[in-house]
Amino acid sequence: MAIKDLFAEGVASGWKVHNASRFEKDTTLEADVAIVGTGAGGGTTAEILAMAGFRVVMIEEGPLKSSNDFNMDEREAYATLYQEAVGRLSKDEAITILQGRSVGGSTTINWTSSFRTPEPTLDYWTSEFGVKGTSVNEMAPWFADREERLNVHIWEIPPNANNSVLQKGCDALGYEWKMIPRNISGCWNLGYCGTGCPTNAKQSMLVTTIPGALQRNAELLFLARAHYLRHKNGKVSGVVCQAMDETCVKPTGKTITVKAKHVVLSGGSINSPAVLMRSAIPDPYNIVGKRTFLHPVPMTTAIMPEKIDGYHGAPQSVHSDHFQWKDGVTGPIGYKLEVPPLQPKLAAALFRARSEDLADNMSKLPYMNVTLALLRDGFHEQSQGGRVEIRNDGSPVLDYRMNEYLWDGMRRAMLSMAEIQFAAGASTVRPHHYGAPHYKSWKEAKAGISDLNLREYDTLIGCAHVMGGCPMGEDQKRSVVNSLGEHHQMDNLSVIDGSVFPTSIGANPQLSVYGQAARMATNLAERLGSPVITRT
Amino acid sequence: MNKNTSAEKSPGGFNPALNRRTFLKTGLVGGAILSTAGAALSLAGSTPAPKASGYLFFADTDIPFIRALFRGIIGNAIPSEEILMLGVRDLDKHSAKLSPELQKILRLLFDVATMPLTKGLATGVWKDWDNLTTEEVYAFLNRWQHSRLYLNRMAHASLVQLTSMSWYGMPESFEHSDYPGAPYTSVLITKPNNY
Repeated sequence: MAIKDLFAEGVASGWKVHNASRFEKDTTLEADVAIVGTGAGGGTTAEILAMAGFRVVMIEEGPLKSSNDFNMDEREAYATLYQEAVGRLSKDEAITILQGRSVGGSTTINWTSSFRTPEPTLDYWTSEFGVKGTSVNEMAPWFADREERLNVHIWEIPPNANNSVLQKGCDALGYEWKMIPRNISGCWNLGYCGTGCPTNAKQSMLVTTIPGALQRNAELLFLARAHYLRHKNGKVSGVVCQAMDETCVKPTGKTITVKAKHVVLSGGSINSPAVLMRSAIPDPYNIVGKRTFLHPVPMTTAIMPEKIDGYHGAPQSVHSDHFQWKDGVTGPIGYKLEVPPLQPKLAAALFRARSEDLADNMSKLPYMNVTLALLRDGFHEQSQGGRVEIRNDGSPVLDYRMNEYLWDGMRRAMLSMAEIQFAAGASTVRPHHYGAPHYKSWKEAKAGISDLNLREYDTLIGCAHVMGGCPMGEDQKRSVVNSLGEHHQMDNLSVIDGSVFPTSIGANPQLSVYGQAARMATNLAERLGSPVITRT
Repeated sequence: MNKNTSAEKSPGGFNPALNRRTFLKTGLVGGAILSTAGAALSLAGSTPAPKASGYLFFADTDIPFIRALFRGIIGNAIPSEEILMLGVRDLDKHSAKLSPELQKILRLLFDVATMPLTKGLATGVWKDWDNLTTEEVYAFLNRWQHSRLYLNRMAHASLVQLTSMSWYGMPESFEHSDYPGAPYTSVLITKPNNY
C-alpha cells in the first residue's frame, strides 16, 4: 500500500485499542484521567496528559476508521463518520447538522480550515462573560503551539475554481478576501477531506495527538457511548459507557465502566451537555445545554460559464470577512463567506430542489460554484442560541429556533453571495430555497432575494459548527465551567471542547478548540501533578 | 413541476384551486393526521410490519410509497426502473444506519403514508402509490411542500433530502451529474481495516 496506515502499524506494535462492540461481558477499565470524546478537544487533551505521565483512557462513541478505510466514497463516509449517519437535525428538523462521530471526531471529516479565534470574539468573552486568561495576547502562544503541532499554514497552492469564484467576485467588488490556513502536511489537493483523508495529509487528531497519546500508553476505547458519570458528594468516580453495535446504531447491552480520578468531557456541544444532563450533575442555575450556537449557514449556487469541478481540489482555500464585523460586534449579525466541496451526494442534500429542478441542478454540477455564509450567532440579545434536550431514549437533540434577527442575516448573506457570484461572472445564481429560481442578473437576484419568503423547510439552513452549551467563565450563575474548563460544582470534572465557548466563534472553530484545549489540559496536568487544590 | 397554465401563477407550480380544496382535506386534517394519528398508531403499540425480504428497514408496504418518492423527487434523472430500485435499496440501507430516534420518526411517517386508515387523509392520495402518474406524485409533493402545516413541510423537506442524497451518492447517477469520481483510485482505494 502506498500510504501507510498509522493504526494498522500502531495496533500491530501494541497500541491499546479496544472495540467495545466485540465485548462479550461487562468490563471495567481504570485510568488517572478518562476523556470522553476524541475530537479537537479530547484528542488534544489526551496527548498533553499522556505526555505528562498520566494514565489516559479515551472513550469514543463512533468507530475507528483510518486511511485504509477512507476511500473517497461519500456513501460509506456519511454512514460511518458522522453523527446519526449524517441525519442529525435540529429538533424541528429545519437545520441539518454535520458533526463528526468516529475516532478523531469532527477533525477526521472537517475541511481543514484553521483560524485563530478572532480578536473581537475573545474580547467579547472577556468583557461580557468574565472569562479569564483568554485575551488575544494570552491565547497567542497557545494558538502558535497548536499551529506548530498540527502544521497549520496558509495554503500556498492556487485555489480550486470553486474557491476562485469567491476570490474573483470579491476582487471585482473591492471586498476583502484572504487565503485560508489549513492543518495539512503533504496535501495531495484531492478535495475529499469530508470523507476522511486517504493520504493522512490532514493533521487531524486521528493522525497526530491520538497516536501521540497511544504511543505513551494511553488506551482507546471505541464504539462506546458515555452514558453517564458516576458521582457522589461533588466528586466523579467514573464513566459508565454503553458498548455500541458495529454500526453504532444501538447499544449491545454490555457496559464498560471507566474508573478515573479525573474525568474530562470532550464530546462537543450537544453530546457533552447531554452527558451532564443524563448524569444529573448539579446545575443550580439551569445553564447546561443552553446558549448552544450553530453558525447557521445559507447557501447560493452559481452556474458558471466555465467548468468548476468543485468536487476536486482543497475544499476551502479562500474566505472573506468583509461582512463579519462591519456592523460592529453586537449589531445585525455578521458573517464569514467560504465555499463547500461539491461531491454529488453532499451537493444534492443542499439545494432545496426536487423533481425537474433538482435534476437540472445536478446535471450542471461540473459548472457549479456554491458559496456559503457562517452567521456569527450569540453576540446579540436576539441571538441566544438553542437548547439541548434529552429525548425519552436518552439521546440528545438541539432545539434551535430561527427568528427575525437570524433571517435578516440569512437574507443579507444571500444578497452578498449572489452579488459576488455575478461579479465573478456567474450566468445564473440561485439561493438554496424551494421558491427561488435561477436569477439571471444581479439586479434580478437583488429584487428576488429581497422578496423571498424565508422560512423553515423552504430555506436550506446548514450547520457544521456546534458551539457552546457548557460556557466557561468565572460567574457561576452564567457558566458551567471556570475559565480553565473545571466544573464549578464538581471537584474532578472538566469540560474541554467547543461547548465551553460563550458564543459562536465567527470562523471555523477547530483551531479555537485546539488552543483552548491546550491551555486547559496543560493547566490540568499541572493541577493533577500537585496536591489537589480545593477551589472556592 | 407541473407544466399546466395555472401552475405558473403560483410559486412551486401548484394549482391554487386544488390548493384550497385540498387544504381542507389534507392540510388541516392531514397535518393533524400526521401528528395525532401517527402518535395513535405508535401508542396503540401496533407491532411493526415485518421487513421486506432482503431489506434492512423497509416493509413490503413501504416500497410502493418509496418508489413513488423517487419518481417524484428524482424525476427524469431516473434512467430505468432497475436503477430506481437501486435507489430504493440504498435508501433502505442508509435508513437502517440512522439513529433509533430518526428511524422511529421515519417509520411513523411511512406508516401514516401507507396505512389504509391514514394514507388518504394525510397525503391526499387515494389510489395505490404504484398507480400514480408522475404528475400525481408531483401534486402530492407540492401539497406537502406548500402546506400551511409545518409537519407536512417538515416531512417533505426531510424526504427530499434523504431521497436525493441516496440517489446522487450512487455511481449509477454519476452519468447524470457528470461527476468523474474520485482521483488516483488505483493508489488510494485500499482494503479497509475494519477494526
